[in-house]
Amino acid sequence: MKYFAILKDSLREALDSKVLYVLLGLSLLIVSFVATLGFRPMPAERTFEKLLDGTMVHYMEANKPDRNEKRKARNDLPQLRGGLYQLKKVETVDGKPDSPDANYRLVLNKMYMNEDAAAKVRRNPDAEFHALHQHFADLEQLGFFRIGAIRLAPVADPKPFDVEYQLDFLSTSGTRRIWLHEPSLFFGLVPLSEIDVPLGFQLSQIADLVLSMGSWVAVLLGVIITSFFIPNMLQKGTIDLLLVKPIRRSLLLFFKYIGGLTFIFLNNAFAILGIWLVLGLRSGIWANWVLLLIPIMTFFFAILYAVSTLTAVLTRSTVTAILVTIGAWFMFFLVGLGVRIFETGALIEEALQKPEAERRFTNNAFRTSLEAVHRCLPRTSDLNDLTHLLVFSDFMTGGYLAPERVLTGERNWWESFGVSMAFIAIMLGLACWRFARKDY
Amino acid sequence: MGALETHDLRKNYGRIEALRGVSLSVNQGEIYGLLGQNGAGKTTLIKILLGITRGWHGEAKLLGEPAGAAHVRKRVGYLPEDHRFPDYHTGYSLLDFYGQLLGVPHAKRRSRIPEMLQTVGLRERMNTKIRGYSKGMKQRLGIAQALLHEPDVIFLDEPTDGVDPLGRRHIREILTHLKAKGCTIFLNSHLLGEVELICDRVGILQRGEMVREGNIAELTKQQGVIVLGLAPGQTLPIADLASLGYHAIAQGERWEVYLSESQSIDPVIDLLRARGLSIRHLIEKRQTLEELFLETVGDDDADKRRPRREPEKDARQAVTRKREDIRRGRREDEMR
Repeated sequence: MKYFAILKDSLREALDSKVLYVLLGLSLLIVSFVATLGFRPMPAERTFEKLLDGTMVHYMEANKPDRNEKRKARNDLPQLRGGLYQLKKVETVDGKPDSPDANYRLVLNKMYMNEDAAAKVRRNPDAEFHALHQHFADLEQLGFFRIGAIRLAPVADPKPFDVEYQLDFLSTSGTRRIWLHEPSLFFGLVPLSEIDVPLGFQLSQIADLVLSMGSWVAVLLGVIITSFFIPNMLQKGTIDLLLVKPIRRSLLLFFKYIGGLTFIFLNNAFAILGIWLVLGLRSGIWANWVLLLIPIMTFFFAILYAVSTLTAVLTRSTVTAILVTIGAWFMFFLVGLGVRIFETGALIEEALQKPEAERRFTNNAFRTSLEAVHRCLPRTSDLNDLTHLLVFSDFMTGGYLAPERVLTGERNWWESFGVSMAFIAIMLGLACWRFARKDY
Repeated sequence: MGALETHDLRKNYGRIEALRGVSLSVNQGEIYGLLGQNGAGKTTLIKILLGITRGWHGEAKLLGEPAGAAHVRKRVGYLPEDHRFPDYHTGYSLLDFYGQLLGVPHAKRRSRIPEMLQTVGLRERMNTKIRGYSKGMKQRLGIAQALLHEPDVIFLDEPTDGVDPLGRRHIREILTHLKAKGCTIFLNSHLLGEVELICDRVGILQRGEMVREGNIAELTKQQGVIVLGLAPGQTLPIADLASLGYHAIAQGERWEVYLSESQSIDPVIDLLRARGLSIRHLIEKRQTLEELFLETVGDDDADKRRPRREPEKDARQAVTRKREDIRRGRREDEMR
């Protein structure tokens, strides 16, 4: 009960500073702006053309947030399959209107090298049916749609080199994500007609932009505001009245820390829930995994706040706590960036098959040292990447998530969390130790 | 078992010896005043007893337990000198917060907090933010938070600082009432008049050492000096007293009569009555606590390490010095 009182006290302090209201107000402003976005489904032909020419697969593979995977995908991507099949006709079945929720029957035309090849296919089309099905397999496996029956289309006067196929396209709950939509602002008043990309991709980019920019502002403001909490508590006359109470010093400090985190958690929850809600209501796509960003971004802040807490206990200075925390944040970013630069450079060198002696990024003593430092520091860059990955994969793939397609297998997320958690524990442990031993 | 005891308590802050072997004992139900100049070590002593300051040597006990024990702190109230309450609280919410930290149950807090605020005269402002309180109101709030959980021992550091005279009297009444209930009060104050009014015993700390300690009445008593007052218009026959071997000097409308160790006041009274004089005032002279304090601590620049004093010996020496001054003055008059 007494420790709950400390949490309540921290929250009261945060509310009194009015900054929470400002942050919530800013979040509300952004959420309100996002709520004005509209998404109008484009005609089915546009989406199927992009499905046929491989653009959709390209979106999935080449726009993954992980840079190395993206680079690999661009190098290894099968050639765009445009030209293999031409879309001849699109019609909904059962008379439903044109929409991402409808089922379709497509008529596709494929041109062969000569009349004999075309005739051979007409006589025995099973292999071609399989090949046609495989054309859509990548996206079908992710649950964006189902391919129903494939048959030869009845053609009154077939052309000698062409074979027409009839394919049943069955929509699923994921179809909307790959459907091309035209976005607009201010409830349709400002159409953005030049943008024709899948809805899931649009939403992931919007969410990523808003949450990335918003998280930078929120973290910076959070660092500044919470940096006052511990020094205020340690002021002469205030700390005396707390230390005389029958509570352990280490727990007093720990719960004061948790109180600061609670303030940030509430702000994150408001902003992320708001974005999730408005994008879901406006688009019909509910990216529930995005809600994981609430604890992830709070955890990100917990790393910085642990640095701030230790600094505050050692110096009792708010300004010093702010500067040291921002400095630490910058250092974590630089180390992570440096490691990524060397990783990317090494991959390029490998791809170009450079001689060993010319591989400056691969065989580099500074890289070894930097990676050693990176192993010990909290992985804020990993948390950033995880945020982007979650946003992208959830808006694009929904509940299917397909981690083996979206999340790189080279990254050990548990190690990232573990090292970051250990860092927090060490910072807090040192702060509690010092606080417990110091005279006030 | 005393309420608090220390034995040869020592504390250093680096090279500074804040406490140099302080030994004291405060009985339960007593009001004890700790006096001393700024930097004498008063606050350090209190903080050691409360467990706020560590790294000390010697022995310190509070309610029979080692000083600083967490479970004992439940029974202790404290108002520090430079207290600083979080101004985002209201009077009520602050007491509620501290009450929770002390483990006071919710139902008891709900009844006790308004009661305490009523006692200190803040009931009407209990829902106002503390940043809107005056200094005196914050001081009274501090008293309330120290008494909220009905502690057995209360440490008050300058409790009447910033409080108007009416408020100070009210606080004295509260402390007297608490004492009657068996509470032990340990008081620091520079307002020696206040200390003299309510404390049972005082100790004077100087440069980390206890240089004088005892009952106020005993400490301030000046042996061998009687203050005598007569009816209006009447004059003390100093010459006649001198012939009896008593020295007297006028002090305003009264007279101070100096007695040697073997003398009593009875012959003086007999003489006055024989002369038909009416005695209106007859009391043994006392020092004020302030005079005692100033005499004890003296000029801090001139004084170096001062040895422990003996109260009664000092009082006799003061009277002897006064008599010698009188005799010297008379000889000078005669020579003129």
